[in-house]
Parts: sequence; C-alpha cells; structure tokens
Amino acid sequence: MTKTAKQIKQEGISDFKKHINLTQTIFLKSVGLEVLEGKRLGVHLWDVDTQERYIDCFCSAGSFNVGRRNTEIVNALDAAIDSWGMGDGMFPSGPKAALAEKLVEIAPEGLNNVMLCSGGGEANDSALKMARGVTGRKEVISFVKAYHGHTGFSLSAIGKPIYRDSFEPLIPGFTHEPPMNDLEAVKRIAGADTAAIILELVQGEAGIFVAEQKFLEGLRKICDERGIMLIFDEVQTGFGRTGKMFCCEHYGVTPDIMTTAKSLSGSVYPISAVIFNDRARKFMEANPDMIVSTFGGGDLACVVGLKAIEYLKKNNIPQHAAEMGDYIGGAILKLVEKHKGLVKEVRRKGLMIGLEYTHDMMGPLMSFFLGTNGVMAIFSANNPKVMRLMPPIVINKEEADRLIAALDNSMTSVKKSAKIIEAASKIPLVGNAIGVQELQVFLILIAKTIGKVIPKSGH
Amino acid sequence: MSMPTETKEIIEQYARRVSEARVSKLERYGLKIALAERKGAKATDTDGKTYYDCYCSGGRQVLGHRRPEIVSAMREAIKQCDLGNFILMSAQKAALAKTLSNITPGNLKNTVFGVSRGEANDFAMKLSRGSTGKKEIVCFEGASHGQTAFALTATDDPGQEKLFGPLIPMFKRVPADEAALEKAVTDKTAAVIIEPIQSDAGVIFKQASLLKKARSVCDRHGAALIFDEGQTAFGRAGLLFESERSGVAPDILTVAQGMGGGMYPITATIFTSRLNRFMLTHPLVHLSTFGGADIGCMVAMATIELIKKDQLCKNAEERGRQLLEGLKRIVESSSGLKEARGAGLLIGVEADGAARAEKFVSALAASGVIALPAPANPAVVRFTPPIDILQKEIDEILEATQKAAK
Repeated sequence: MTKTAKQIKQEGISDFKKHINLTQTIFLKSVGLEVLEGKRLGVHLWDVDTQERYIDCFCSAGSFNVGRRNTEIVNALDAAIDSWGMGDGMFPSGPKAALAEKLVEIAPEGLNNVMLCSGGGEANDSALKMARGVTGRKEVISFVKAYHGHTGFSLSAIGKPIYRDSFEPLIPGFTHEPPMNDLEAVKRIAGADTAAIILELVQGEAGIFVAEQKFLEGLRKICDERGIMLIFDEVQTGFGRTGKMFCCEHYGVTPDIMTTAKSLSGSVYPISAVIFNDRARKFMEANPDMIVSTFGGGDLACVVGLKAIEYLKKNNIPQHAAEMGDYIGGAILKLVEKHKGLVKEVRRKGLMIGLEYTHDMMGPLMSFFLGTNGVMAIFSANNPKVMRLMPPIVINKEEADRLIAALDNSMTSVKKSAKIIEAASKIPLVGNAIGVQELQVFLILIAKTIGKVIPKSGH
Repeated sequence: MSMPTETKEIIEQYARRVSEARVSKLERYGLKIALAERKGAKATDTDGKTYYDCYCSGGRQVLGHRRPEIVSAMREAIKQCDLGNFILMSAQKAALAKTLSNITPGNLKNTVFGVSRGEANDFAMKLSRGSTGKKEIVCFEGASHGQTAFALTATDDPGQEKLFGPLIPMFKRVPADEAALEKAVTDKTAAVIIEPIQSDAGVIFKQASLLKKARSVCDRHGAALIFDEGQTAFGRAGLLFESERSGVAPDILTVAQGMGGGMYPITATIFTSRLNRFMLTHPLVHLSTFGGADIGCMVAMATIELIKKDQLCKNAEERGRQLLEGLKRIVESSSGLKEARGAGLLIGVEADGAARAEKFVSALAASGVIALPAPANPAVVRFTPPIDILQKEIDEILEATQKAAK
C-alpha cells in the first residue's frame, strides 16, 4: 500500500524522534520548521505533506550554491552512474585527474596540488596534519568563535567552547584566543612553534564576521616571516558564495593551504578537497600514505564536482552572487531603517548575509515568522541573535523580491511581539539564552504560546 | 565536461596534481593503471585490461560494482532528493536509522550519520566521553580506525604520532590480552574501542573470550564498548555484524562505506538509548553536513534490503570458504607464502615479509587480479572481493592466483 503524504510525514517525524534526535524535532517545531523536505528545486524546498514552499536560506550552511537539484548537475550524475561508481581513494581515474586539474585551475596561483576527501571536517583535519607535518611544529592558532568542523583536529580548532567542552581533552597546542581581525593579538602569540594559522575569511557559524583587508595581509606577512602555514577554510565561502569563486580573491591574499567542501558537492554528492602549495607537496611526496582518505575523490563525486564548477563558471554565477548580494543587501538595509530597533547590524560578503538582531530571542522569533512567510532561515547555533541568510546563489530577482517581502512581513510580526519578548527576557533563563541547551529549553517554553498569541502576517 | 581518457594522460595529470608517490607505489605493485569501467567483481583499466577486483577499497565496498539494483535505487533517489538540509528532519534519514536500529545487535536505538569512517569513529569516542563524563579511551595494538583525529589516535601507527602529534590525550593502548584489558579499564575509562577483526593489521581476529571480557569490564566500570565494524559489517566477514559470531553486543557500533552499496559514501554511529541521553541534552553538539545525505540513505536502504533478500552474508560465507580453502592449498604449494586466514570474504594471505608480498601482488596483477597489501601489515595480501561473487568467479580468481603464487 502506498503511503499518503501525511503518513510519510507523520512516520518520518516519529522515526526521527525515536531513532535520531527528539530534542532536534522539538527545537525545529518551536521555530516553525517542522518540515520534512519533499520536492527540492532551485532556491526552493517543499514540505512533503503540506506542500508549502520555502526559499532555502540555510542550504546546509552554504552547500547548495548551484541550487537544489540543479537540472544540469542531476542530469550529469544520472548519466555518470551508467559508467562510474563510488570508486576508491587508491587508483587514478579520469574523473579524479580532471577534477584535481580543474581545482588547481580555479584556485589562486601557487596552489598547485590537491588532496580529495569526503567531508569538510576531514579536509580540515588533513590540512592541519599537513601543516604540522610540513613545519615540524605543534601549535595551531584559530580564532574566537571559529568553526571548522567536528572531527578531532577541526574540533580542536573550533573557537566556541560549547562544541569542545564535553569532549576535552582535545589536541594539545591549539589556541583560539585572538579575535577575528585583531592582528596584534596574533603577533603576540605566533612564534617559532606555530605550525598553522587557520581561519574562515567570513566566519559563518559565528554570525558572519568578515575578515578585513589589512588583517589578511598582516597574517600573510606574519606567516611568511615566521614560516607558518596559513590555512584558509573556504568550506562555506568557496564556489561563488561571496561573489568570487573563492573568497580570498577579494583580498588578493593566497594561503598555503585552502580547504573546500560543501558546494563542491553540487548539492547532490559528498566531496571535499584540500588544495595546497608546493611546500606542502614536498612533505606529502616525502611521506606518502600518511595523510589519506579512503574514499576521497570517488569517481561519481569527481564527476559532480567538475560539473558544479563548470556550471558556476559557464554562467558566471560568482558575479551573479555579487550582484544579487548587493541587491538583497541594499533592500535589507532599507528594512532595517523601516523597522528601527530590531536589527543591530547587517554584515555581508556577497550572498553570505548576517543579520544581528538587538536581542538573543529575535533570531528564533525571526526563524519562526520567516517560516510562516515561506522562507527557511535559521539563526546561528553559535550566536542566536545572528541569523545567516545564505540562499542558493543562483537566486533570481523575482525570488529575491519574495525573500525581501518575507523579511519585511516577519520584521513587522516580530515588532508586534516585542512586548512578549520584553516580558520573557526578564525570566533569567531566557535573558541568558546564549548556550544551545538553554536556548532550547527556552524555545520549548515559548513555542507553546507563540503560535497562539501572535497573529500571522503577510497572508 | 572534459576528462582525460588516455591512460598516460590520466596518470600524468594525477601524478602532477595529486600524488607522484602513489603512482610510484602502484607501479611497484604492477598496477600503474587508471581504472575505468567497473562492473560486478571486475574492474577494467583504461587500456581495456580487465581484473578481478579483490581489493574493493580494502574490503570496504561489499557489493559488486554498480549492482543493477543499487544503480536503480540511486537513479530513483536522485529523481526525488539531494543531500538534504542537515539541520532539518528527514524521512530518508529517519527510515534508515529505524532500519539500523532493527538489524543491529543488542539495544542500539539511535543513529548519527557521517560520511567517512573516521568521522563515525570520532563521534563514537566523543559520545563516550560526553555521556560518561570520563576521559580515558582504551584501544588495541594493531588497531586501525580512520584518519580523523580521534580515530587516528586510536590507530596503532607511531609514524602518525611522530609526524602529526601530539594527538588526543588520554588514550591507552593494550595488547589483545584479557588480563591486560582488565587492568587497563578502570573507573576513569570512557570507552573501549575494538575492531572485532582487524583488517588493516592483516586480518587478525579478536577472540570471542576477549570481546566478552571487554563487555564485562565495560559494564563493571561504566564504560562504553565501541565496536568499529567499518571493515567487517554488512556481510564482508560472512555475517551482517560480528556480534553474531561472539554473542557480544556493543554500546556503540560504527559502520562505514559498505552501507553505501558502492555508489554513495555514508557511514553511521549507532548507539543505545542510555548514551542517547547525552544527545538529547546536546542535540547540536556534533554536526555533519554530508553525513546521512538523503540520497545516501535511500541507497543504503536498498543495499541493506539486497543483502538480506539475496542472502549475501550466506554467499560471502560460502564463497569465502571456497576462496580460503583454495588459497590455503596455494599457500602450501608455494614458496614464500605462509598462511591464509580469514572469515567470509575478508581474507589475508601472509607472505614471508613485505618484499615477497609485493612480488605476489604484482604477479597477481599480471594474472588479472587486483589484491593489495594490508596497509598496516604489508606482508599480508588481502583478498576482499565483492560478497555477491559467483562460484565460478572464485574458481577463476584461484586459477589466476595459482599462477601468480609460483
């Protein structure tokens, strides 16, 4: 018997609660996103049961730059499975050689070598190993609020203690002290035992903090002078997101190692890559099989990665992202004026947009109202008053206008609920809702009242 | 989309951009080839030479290449879905997690998905620290768990520590010895992590009595018992899971790419409701963008169904016996080969040293069989063909191996 859409959804939610994570389902319900993804296409996803359509402004934190189920990418994958499979990390093949060559072609000059992996964490783990191996040094500098992934090396470099605390002790020699853009702080600690400085050029999870030109130039200089490997984590910023193929192109600063993942997947197939210079290559060649990935660069993954890059280049999508970023970013600044008191700051690089609200609670509330207005956007786990808007960068003007209208409506609704927020924020637990756990307890509390008290707007 | 098709061009490009050292190594193995079409138990290189693939990524691929059922499942999956948003609920993830809960041993109820084996093991060890509040992790000599940092620390490879250390503190390594294990596990132990069969170390079995001892000391001290079945599960060693052999069920089980049916990378960490309490209070403390992609979940469901429907574990057991007996006969009549051992289609042939093994590998390649040395024990050549292999294919592999062993 075929199940109805309603049954699929109910069963999906029930099994998810039982076999994956109950709290996550409660959390999603409380922010108005009790959604099971059915159809996905372009900038949209549809709930499998209600058929409600959402503009995807989360995109697995920037994994769907080419849009969801991009026809050209899906067709390429469909054709490729007639001849290729998952492949392996051992033997050369046409797709692997071609993707490696293509990545070198689009990467900044000097990054001539490629190691293919499966996920972003794995890529950062490999990059950090490489930096220690190349330099023979131990210490790694990352930044306050930095986010690099959840596997062991990457986790050690995360700058938000809540992700690390339960699992300590992690790898010795990691410091996350310097704030982003504080060159003096880096100068003070970068020394003869520093192997690497690793950073995101736009901190994503932290809430969209953009690196400054002088800061990056300064880091490059420090690294050159002191023999330190400079690692750019372009997992979220890569492949057109910020208006250039890679974010570092904006700055004209080239790292020694660059890691990429998310949108290399074309939104359909896991793949990541570490792209590195000839200094690192020397180490890799002298120490073969010491940094490997068993399934890194499987054949199907490489075909998809190639196609995704080809699509971005052929259609000049990074440039499009820059233009749409200006368009949406400009409109948001107007909304901020219109709804005074709601947004403290807008931070942006291309289509990597962060809205910092004036209060911790507004992130969850905006998620909720945007959901009712057909936009899926989730506040940063690292910083709940900041919401990331990262729609597929293929978004067109009509879609952008709908996104802007949804933001406008949602801001109106949030302002209406200001009184409730004020009252709620006096409850100590809520006022301090900065940790993931506390926030969720709080959300569970308000979820029960919010939908009833506040009228939906924009419908 | 341009892609090189000529062997020379592929290999040169690969050497230039990825690794020259890898190409030299493959050359020593007589396998300076680029792989193209793969079908069933066979792989064809770009010059048109066909091999039996007894490598299958060190046995991590369990099904024959591009099984029609799995290809169809994947085709169906890409019509409907994509990676999916990792933050949202997903019917595909939920269905696979439920299936895993049903088919795995003991009381394993909850799943966190990953995309690499290292990631699955990193999370298993993180979970054990998080849920017990304790720090020490006991691991074994000869262990191999993956490339990411927790997994790497548990892996017995001093070279890694030397080049990339210090790795993660508070790991204790013990020999496969009940008394040593009993002594190592204390009230400070968060987890004991074990591969029931150590594949990379050259196909070394853990005795059931050792696994039972591990179970009892973990129970006594409130530590989590982790089975890393990344290289043994889903029929590779003749059983769906190794717990069927020993009767010992873990608190955390990790499975790896075999689950993806050779088409899609997906791995999983499956654990008890007791350990899940930690995840209920820390739901977003471990994330994986690609882990449990919706397409991957659908492919994995099809893989598990196929393994059950076609009784492929039984096939692996029977064909494994055929291959192992044949290899034993070959070992007896060949110089420089000492022993053939294994379970199901996870088989190792131990040679008199790495040089002899390398010679064997290149002779195998010349006879049309790809089989490679175990990475942590290069004297052992692993034979890990697909578990759906046919009797006559094993006959042909044995015939080729007979020639190569001389």
